[in-house]
Amino acid sequence: MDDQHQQRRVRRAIGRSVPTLSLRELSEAAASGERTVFDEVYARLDGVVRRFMRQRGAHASLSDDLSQRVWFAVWQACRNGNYDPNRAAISTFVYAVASNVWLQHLRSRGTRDARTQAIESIGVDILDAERASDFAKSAEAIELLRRAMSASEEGDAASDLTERERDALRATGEGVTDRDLALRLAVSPSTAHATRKSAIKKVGRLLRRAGLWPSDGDPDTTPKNPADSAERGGTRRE
Amino acid sequence: MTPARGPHHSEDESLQTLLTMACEADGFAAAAERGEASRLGRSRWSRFAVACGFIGALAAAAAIAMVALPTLWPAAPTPTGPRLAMHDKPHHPTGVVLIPRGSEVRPASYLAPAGSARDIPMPTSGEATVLLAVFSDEPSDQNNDCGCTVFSAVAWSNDRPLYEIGRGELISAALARRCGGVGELRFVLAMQGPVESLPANAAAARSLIACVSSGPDACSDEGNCFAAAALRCVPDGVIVLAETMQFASR
Repeated sequence: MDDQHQQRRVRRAIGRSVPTLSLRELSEAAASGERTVFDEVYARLDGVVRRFMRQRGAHASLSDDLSQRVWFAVWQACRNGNYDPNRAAISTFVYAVASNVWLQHLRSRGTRDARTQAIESIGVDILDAERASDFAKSAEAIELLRRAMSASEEGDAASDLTERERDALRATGEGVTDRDLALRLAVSPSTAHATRKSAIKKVGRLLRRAGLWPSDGDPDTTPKNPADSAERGGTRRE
Repeated sequence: MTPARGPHHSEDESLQTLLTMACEADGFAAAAERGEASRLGRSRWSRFAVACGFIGALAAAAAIAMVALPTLWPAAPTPTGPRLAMHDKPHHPTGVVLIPRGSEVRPASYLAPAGSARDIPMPTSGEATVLLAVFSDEPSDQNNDCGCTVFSAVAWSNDRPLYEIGRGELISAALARRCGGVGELRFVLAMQGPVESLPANAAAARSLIACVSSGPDACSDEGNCFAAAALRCVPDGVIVLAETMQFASR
């Protein structure tokens, strides 16, 4: 099928041409496995993926190789229906794939870092991380946290986080120390520390409920069955 | 699958790392949105340009006038680059601090190393990491040339490579070296690579700042923009991390 024909098909399906789609619309369209939509995702995010690799120390040719692996995996996932736009935005999905590909590269060189541990905590085996289900799982966990950190009501309802706890979560993601967080929140360092702990506990519960974090035996946070996670769905954030 | 955890790795640490990754994913979304905006912008501009083609002729006339006018009137004095004076960092073997001309040389105490990054003498061979932080006196003035720039060779705790350094950690390291504890952090750059590829003195640091600031698009508050600009200014093989203090936009 030629490009123009595909463009027309997508345009008929979504009523607009691909380059004018918002990221949210693009996420939904990407799940269709249309090549023109994938090309647009590639055009918007390839530079970011390469910069991601370069910032982690990959030289130019390694960055090229790893980026190609990332885009091949994203294309496969979109084409085979393994990318679910309700679980994660396409940008989060690409980020998750890029992270897993990078961590796998580190593992192949005998290196592990904190990110490897974190990704393995949600049940992804980095050594076998090119499985589409593992990419989806990483993306879903990261999307859940993005949503929890956002200021939307949807995020509040899902995670039961207060405004201050959301600030603390975001600061934690940015690597801010308790002392600096205290300055930001205008509270004492011990209060900042307690707020951070409470926020982290809540997102841990959120991940457990979604079946993305090892169970702590609490019936409130343990999914009743594995399908719970799949049924949870929800709207992703851009 | 049973999660594989090291004995000293707590769930909290893993969650914190996942939160860092969620923040980075925000950066991906922001970049994709910027791509969308620039595409839409280009498309709108194309339509506008076609409709208003005569504006090009007006612009050309204006350009000719701008070239011709200085020959008719004497040129006004123009700034000749940042008004910075260089002082050797007191009691410090390698780094230098650039301080606004007319200001006092500040005591060395404010150069106390940040928790995770300590100042070290610049190695003479092999790999090194340098930290370059640019502060301005006026928070709202991004082009303020009366700020100060801190430059020093650093080593991160546990001898970690640059790619393991988080955003907050980089900013904390810069703030810990803030000139006299005042000034708004414009951006901080950390560069890791062969010693001969890194700026080794104040003049080289100043050149690098000028290069970073002279890109085709001026960076304002986006760390990635500064990183991309810096990558253009350093030889291949140098890893660059850049951050700004724009928390609210993320």
